[in-house]
Amino acid sequence: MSDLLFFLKDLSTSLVKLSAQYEEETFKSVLTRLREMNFDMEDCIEWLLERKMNHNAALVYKHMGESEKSVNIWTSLLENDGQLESAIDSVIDSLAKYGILFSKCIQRNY
Amino acid sequence: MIFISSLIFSNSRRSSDENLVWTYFYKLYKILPSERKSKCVEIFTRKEPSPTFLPLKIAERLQNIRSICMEYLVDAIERRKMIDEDLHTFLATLFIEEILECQDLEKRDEIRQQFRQFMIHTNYLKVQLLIGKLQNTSLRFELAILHGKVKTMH
Repeated sequence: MSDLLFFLKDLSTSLVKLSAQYEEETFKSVLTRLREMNFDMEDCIEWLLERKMNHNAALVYKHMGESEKSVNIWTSLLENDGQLESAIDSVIDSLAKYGILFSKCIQRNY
Repeated sequence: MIFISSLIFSNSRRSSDENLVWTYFYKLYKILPSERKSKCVEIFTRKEPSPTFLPLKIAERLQNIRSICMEYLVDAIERRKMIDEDLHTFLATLFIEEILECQDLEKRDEIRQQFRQFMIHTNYLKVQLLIGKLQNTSLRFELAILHGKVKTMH
């Protein structure tokens, strides 16, 4: 992926959407660099939800630090299917890590 | 002034973090089918202790779901090797409640066995408090273990 791509809003927004739909490996790699990218998050989320890619929408929220929104999507998925393993693991993982960064700041007296 | 406002912000942020975790813990517990509910405990067993999530505070809030609370305490004591007297005594109290309420004799014996093993191996119990709880029950063997501990302490 060219670094230039990360600064062009329309292109990077498309990259997030298309990788989420077609390229799982690329999407995983995009997620790790999401915060560096200049992309339209709300547009991506709307697009993903319209196409029933709720899990990927939650992952975008999670990697952008919007934990509550991501957990909310996963619990909604579980309300329809309580056995959805990826959603169970994702909720538990997010909640287990939630508040840790902030607690470290407190310990350092920030 | 900046310090006071950042302190107020800190406290409200901690409280909102805490509320969010507990809200979604209960939500997840309610949604999951009964055979998967115990999975929810991982939210707390995988969490590093912090000022917002102190082990005793977590255990106190979990006590209305006894099986989850016991799993949490067993993990804190056995895997994390926490040596807090309050945590060990809390687990012992839950064992007693569980045994006294259990109707299935086979399961009851199994829990009693676990409780005895736990009592034999820990040195962090408020023994007199537990003796008081067992005094008027049929758990004579467990009571004997506790009296034995009192003797070794003196």
